[in-house]
Amino acid sequence: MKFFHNRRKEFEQFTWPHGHDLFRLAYWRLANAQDAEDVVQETYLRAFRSFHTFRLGTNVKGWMTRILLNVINDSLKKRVRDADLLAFDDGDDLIMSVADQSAIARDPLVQLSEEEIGPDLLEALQQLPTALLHPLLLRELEDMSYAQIAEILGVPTGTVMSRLFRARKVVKDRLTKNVKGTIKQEVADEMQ
Amino acid sequence: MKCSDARPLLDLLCDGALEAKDSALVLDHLKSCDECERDWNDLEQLRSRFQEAKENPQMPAGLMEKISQKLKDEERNQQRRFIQRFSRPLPLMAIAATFALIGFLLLPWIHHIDTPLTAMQPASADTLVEDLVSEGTLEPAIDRNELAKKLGYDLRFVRLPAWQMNKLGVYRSQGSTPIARMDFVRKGLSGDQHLSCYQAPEGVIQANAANLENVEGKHVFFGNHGKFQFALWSQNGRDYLMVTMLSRPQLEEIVRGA
Repeated sequence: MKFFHNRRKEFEQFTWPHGHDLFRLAYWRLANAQDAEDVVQETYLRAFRSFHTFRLGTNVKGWMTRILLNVINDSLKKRVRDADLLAFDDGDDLIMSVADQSAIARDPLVQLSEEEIGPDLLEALQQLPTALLHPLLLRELEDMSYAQIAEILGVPTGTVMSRLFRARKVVKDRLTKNVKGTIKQEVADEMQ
Repeated sequence: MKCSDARPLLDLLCDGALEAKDSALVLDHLKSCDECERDWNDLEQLRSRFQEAKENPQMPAGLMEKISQKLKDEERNQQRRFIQRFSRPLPLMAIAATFALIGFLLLPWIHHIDTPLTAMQPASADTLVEDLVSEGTLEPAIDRNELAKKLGYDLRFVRLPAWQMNKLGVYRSQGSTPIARMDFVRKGLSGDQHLSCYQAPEGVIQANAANLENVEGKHVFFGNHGKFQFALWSQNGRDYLMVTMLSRPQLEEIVRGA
């Protein structure tokens, strides 16, 4: 069965260099190391199963990232279903933030990731709906161009630009509020 | 440039997506506008926060090894599925092959029973006549039952009044088709008269250079070979070849009454 062996080797050659980037994106998206590890493993499995559909010469990282985001979405939907909460609807994607989703299944590792990432930034990101978070993460963490993000998310480039603008605004506002809140708290503490 | 024009371009400037000319305009505006400069600084700060955050997290040790192992397992599963997909029809093929083998082994027996008798090896009437005197070509049988067993097909008799059967057996010298031969004798005015009658499934015995005549509704080929006269016709699904040293009219009379 050399054919299968060669195919796996070829797949590994193409995809191995992007393992770290995929894990980092998953980690920031899910704010949980174990969950990130699980979805990255699932991503590699799915990609391997559909490797025959991959066209040589196309962007491997973009292909893998698209699969990763799908796996993450499936994972989050499963969490919602498992938690027997309200039915999840794709139409609610824009209003369902990471905070909502994380609240469904938080565990001690979340605390760890919050410390590593920075609680204020993570909290600010958690306020973002998925539609705004994904372009921001792909741009800031993966240094992808507007066109690459548009291709991965399946939206026009103009949409990517507008979503990035809105995402940054929300995060900046949130970070500014936190800073102001922290200063107010420090002043209040000093006055006591 | 106004603030309302500059602010939407700050993100593009941050992402390096502005053309040099536009970038210069925005940067000039920032020098003269504190509010926009503050927005720009916030944006830059956010960018630097992400740059710092990019260092985290480090990939867990052994993750790629775990993935590699999973891929190997998946590869084995794919191989198994591949083999199963093509091996599923094998039992049916094996059964079919077994039946084919059994059929092949039983072919002679099946052929013996089911093959249309007309498909048997043909025999020439002339040769049969020639071999009439050659006793070595006849495998004797005790009675009709034994003859029928040796032939593999049932004997269908015609009427030959006054004729006594004195010998019977299987003629095998031509091909593998067994042909029945019965020798008859009757008392004549000038001594014993002899008649040999061959019987085979219809279509086996063929006559060349013979005359076709209609005798009592039978299509009979009459011919002669040396001192022998013969008549060949089909009746009851059988070929009958009668050979005698009697005259042609006498033979025709025999056929008429058969």
